[in-house]
Amino acid sequence: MEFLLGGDWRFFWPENIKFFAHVPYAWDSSLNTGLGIPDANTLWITSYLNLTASLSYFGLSWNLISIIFWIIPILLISFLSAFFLFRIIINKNNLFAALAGMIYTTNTYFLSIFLGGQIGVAFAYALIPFVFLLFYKLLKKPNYYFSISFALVFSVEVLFDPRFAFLTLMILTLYYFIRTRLKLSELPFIVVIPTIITSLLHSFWLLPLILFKSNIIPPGFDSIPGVKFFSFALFENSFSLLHPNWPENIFGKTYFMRPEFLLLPIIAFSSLLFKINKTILFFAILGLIGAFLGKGVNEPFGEAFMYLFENIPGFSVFRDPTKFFTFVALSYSILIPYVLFKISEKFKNRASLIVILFVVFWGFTLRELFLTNNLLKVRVVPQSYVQFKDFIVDQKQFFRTLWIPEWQRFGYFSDLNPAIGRRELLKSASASGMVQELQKEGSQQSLEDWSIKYVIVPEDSEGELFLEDRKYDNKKYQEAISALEDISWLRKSETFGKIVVFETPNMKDRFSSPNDNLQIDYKFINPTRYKLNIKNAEINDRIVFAEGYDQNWIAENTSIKYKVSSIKYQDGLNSFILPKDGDYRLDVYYEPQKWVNIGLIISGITLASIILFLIRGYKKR
Amino acid sequence: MKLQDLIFLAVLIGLILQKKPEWFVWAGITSLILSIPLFAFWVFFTAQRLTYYGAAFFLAAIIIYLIQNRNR
Repeated sequence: MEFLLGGDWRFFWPENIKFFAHVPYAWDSSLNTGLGIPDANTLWITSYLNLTASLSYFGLSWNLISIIFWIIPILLISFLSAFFLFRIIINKNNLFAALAGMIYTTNTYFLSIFLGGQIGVAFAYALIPFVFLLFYKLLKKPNYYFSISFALVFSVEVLFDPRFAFLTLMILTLYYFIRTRLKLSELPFIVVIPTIITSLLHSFWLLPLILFKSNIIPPGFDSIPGVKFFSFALFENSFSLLHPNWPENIFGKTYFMRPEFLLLPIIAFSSLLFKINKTILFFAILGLIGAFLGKGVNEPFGEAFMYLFENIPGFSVFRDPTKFFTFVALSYSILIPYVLFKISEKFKNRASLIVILFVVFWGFTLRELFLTNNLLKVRVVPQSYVQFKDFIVDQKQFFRTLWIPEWQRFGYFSDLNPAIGRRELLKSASASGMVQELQKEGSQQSLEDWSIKYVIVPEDSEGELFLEDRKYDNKKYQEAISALEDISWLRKSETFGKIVVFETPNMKDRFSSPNDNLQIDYKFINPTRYKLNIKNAEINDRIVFAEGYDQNWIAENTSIKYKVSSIKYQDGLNSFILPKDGDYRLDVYYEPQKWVNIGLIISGITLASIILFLIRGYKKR
Repeated sequence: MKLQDLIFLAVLIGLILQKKPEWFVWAGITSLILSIPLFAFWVFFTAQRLTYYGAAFFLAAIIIYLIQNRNR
């Protein structure tokens, strides 16, 4: 079995992809956590994952789904959107428009996010010129058709990454004010209608997010040390459209400046030497702003970024300032072909030669892509992970696995068998620190309460987990195993290749009770709903629900007029106090899901109406 | 303030007095071209500063173009 992209891109087995093929759910049981967390603040991208995962029911493998519905659309949209943007706003010359597409799709920033597996981000990036183009058309002809078309494509961008949609809004606002003064008559088309449509289309996650006051910005994003740490790029990087982690694309590993990249701003800003119009001025300003913000808090005037970070609400989503490289990429992908086109006009019949020379230079700047085999390597899933997956799947029983020091990308997980290993339970960063936590009194109880059946030391096939100076260190792997072997209550039970499995003695089920006489049978309906059959209950008995605590988990029985919110139990689990003695049924559900369902209906009706309107209005536009 | 900054300021003031945006662009391009060999030979301080100056010249050119555009 093979896997195409590394980095953040997820791998799914045929056995677990179906667990994610469903309508969007407000509770994430296993995708980004092993404990369970609210999901409304990432439901935008998860909903597209859910949609594409559903294609596994037609027999498509995740690799094929990735290629057809993620990778190819990104590359095509990215290229074509920049291509048509150049053609429509600069010149209809296909050769130079293709150059625009090439620059936008193969610059080191895009390649770093794309090959680094940030596919949602790459999708949103790819859509920016397309959104810009529709905005351009909307400004030329403010009417319902273009307003709704713009809103639809902008909504698709929001689906993949709201941060990039935010960046796009900055670009559009800048363009609007450079192009013209504010015209109130345009506002309904360029602001009001798109805002309403985007909100309606995204109501399936906006409604629960607003009504349940969830944070769209994850905790810790506004940390000042964080933004300083993430400011990897220097001004010469952002100005030259050279991603600071290029070429190895190892997070945080930066390199000396590669001077050949300085030819890019030289060519791009030479555009100011030709006949100037507002469009060229806009792209030049955009490039400068992107270069200035893309370096974050570094010189020159790094305090400006810090000021924006501390004072502009929502700006903390850009704690990784390289996102502003997008401005530079969009700017240069228009300005460079424009300059080359203008030069070609002076040297007639030399257009092809000019383009070829630039393509050769461009290829030279990206030489590592072809010369090293790490960037475009197809990864093979080790046999040990296949065996481990079969071992877990065959048990057909709910339990969790705990990975020391981290969950490995090929490690099997599902809603039935969530994998803990992203520091959600043990807070230490190292395997030794985690083992020390496990050695503390009460940790056995904690693991059993969390339904952890197995503690896993992974095979670090990708060299990502047991690292010393960014390189795999077998000593660290061995130390983790030895330390776990010393824990008396853990039993070494299985080994698959270099994956070592330890078993806990008495893990509890998803629903349990401190009262041993209480019998609980439950049925998993979906990650937000369970049906329980309670027997031998006594009034004030407690049911413990082994998912991450959230007060919006509700236990309900309408026939006995019982409805209570979850009470936080030890180790951060949920619990419910029973209302009476006897045998009865309970529904346990996650309340925000009701609003996801309502939002899905609103989103669906809006989408259908928009499509109908656009089809009917196509000829009249 | 370093010597490089003083030279930059002198050139900037000279160009502002001329009010010709193309000259700013040429100054920016020259700054970037000069920085290339310096980066190649790891003379980072001056090379980095030259990229700052280059951007500043381009910014000045854009501002003058915008003002000229508005006055038209």
